[in-house]
Amino acid sequence: MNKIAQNKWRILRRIVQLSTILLLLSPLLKLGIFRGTLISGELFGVLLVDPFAAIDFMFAAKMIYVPLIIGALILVGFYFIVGGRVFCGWVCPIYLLSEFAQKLHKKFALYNMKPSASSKYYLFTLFLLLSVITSKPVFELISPIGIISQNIALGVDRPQTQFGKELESSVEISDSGYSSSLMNDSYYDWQILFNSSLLLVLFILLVDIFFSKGWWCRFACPVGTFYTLLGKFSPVKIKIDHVACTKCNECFDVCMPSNVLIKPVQGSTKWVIDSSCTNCLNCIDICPENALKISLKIKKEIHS
Amino acid sequence: MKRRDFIKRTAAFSAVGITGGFSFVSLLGSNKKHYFRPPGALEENQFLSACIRCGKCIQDCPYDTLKLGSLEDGINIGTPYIDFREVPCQMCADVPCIAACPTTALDHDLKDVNKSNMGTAVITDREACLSLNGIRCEICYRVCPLTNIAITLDKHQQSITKKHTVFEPVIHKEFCTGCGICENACPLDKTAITVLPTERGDKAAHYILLREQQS
Repeated sequence: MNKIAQNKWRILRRIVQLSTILLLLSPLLKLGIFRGTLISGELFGVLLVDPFAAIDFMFAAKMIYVPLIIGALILVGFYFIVGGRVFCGWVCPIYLLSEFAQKLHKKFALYNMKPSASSKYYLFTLFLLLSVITSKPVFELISPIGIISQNIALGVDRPQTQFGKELESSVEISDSGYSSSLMNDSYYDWQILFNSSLLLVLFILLVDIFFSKGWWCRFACPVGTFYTLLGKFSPVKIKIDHVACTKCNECFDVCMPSNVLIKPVQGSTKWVIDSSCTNCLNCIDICPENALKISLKIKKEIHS
Repeated sequence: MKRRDFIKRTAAFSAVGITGGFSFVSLLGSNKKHYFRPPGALEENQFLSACIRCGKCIQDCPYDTLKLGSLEDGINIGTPYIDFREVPCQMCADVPCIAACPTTALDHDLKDVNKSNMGTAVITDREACLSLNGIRCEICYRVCPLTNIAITLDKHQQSITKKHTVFEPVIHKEFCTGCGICENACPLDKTAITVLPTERGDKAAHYILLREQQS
């Protein structure tokens, strides 16, 4: 019981992370809860679009498409309220995999390379520049978030329809008459998709394990960078009680973006203001003095 | 260096090198193959710009026609494409793939799937085609969703026996949607009818004009 209380945020976060995966698998139930992937999906019929993918589209296609922007703005609004990189910490399956890779990193690491913290902003700009120059949404080609969610979502939702059988979906065949016996009978209910693009995800995780702890999420991913920028204005932040804090620095070890807690713990600020913080709340779980808590930063406070 | 350390390093470097190297080489590799897109897709270059690789059209295709581009497909990674020989487009009346598209990659103004243009069927092997050899096949003509519109039968006398009729399937480019049902149904191992990318040129326009004048 005590163990659960000590890890309550971590457990809650794991539940949310797993329910993201279940949401991607939910078309199997045919309840119409969610369809699509993490790049673009429909939750209860409302179109949602990954904001960075929407920006990428506008830069690549050089065009504005209103439904896409509305879909992106809904997510921008949501993540503004709950705190930018909450997407990373609570939703993204790559982050989940990366967390396990980081556990392996402790055992198998050869190096722990740390590029500069600003490298993600350079990469963010680089990806958008490349999109403009090549007129292709360059990041979406290699986006591990897209790849992993495609492999989860598209693999299981195989057609249940067969010629000569009643169609289960709402789709009707056009009124043309073609013979069913001539069709391939290679229809199956479901199968696991293993697309070779998963190699890219594997590459990211292997570098994570051997060379650089959490490199993709910390220094590279432009989706995370977008949410970092968004999170600068977000009201949900972690607050530190300087009276209770004994500066034991235990929270540093569990913090994925690792540098966001340094300033608040050393006492120069009350809030974790660096928006690289994913609000994963590992630090709250581990703090032996309960000096950290999550709260709303609405008014600008004068630092004492 | 200890032997154990050496093995560990070799394993790590080769694992990262192989996955990373293979990924990036195949991503940058050029691919000459033509990718046939879902109904209503923009012209290929514009399509590649507008498609954000979300995979929704692939998920919503009820016949598993649309396939997901993988690493070997280079720049086409994550995009939908059709392999007609495996599963052709079934021309759903409500075009779920277009409805699923969150961007303009698939034309949302296309309401009638019969006006789509994924490609054009062409008799690519006149010598192998059973119908042209005087055999009563005409499967492509009968499976065509636009029977007697996109494919018609041109009947003429067989030149060898001078008694029999050749039922020659003739494809009308202006109506053919390139759904690939004919290619899929062709009984030959290497199809005599194949969907090719549509080329719109002056020649075709003149040809159509000529035919209209003659009829």
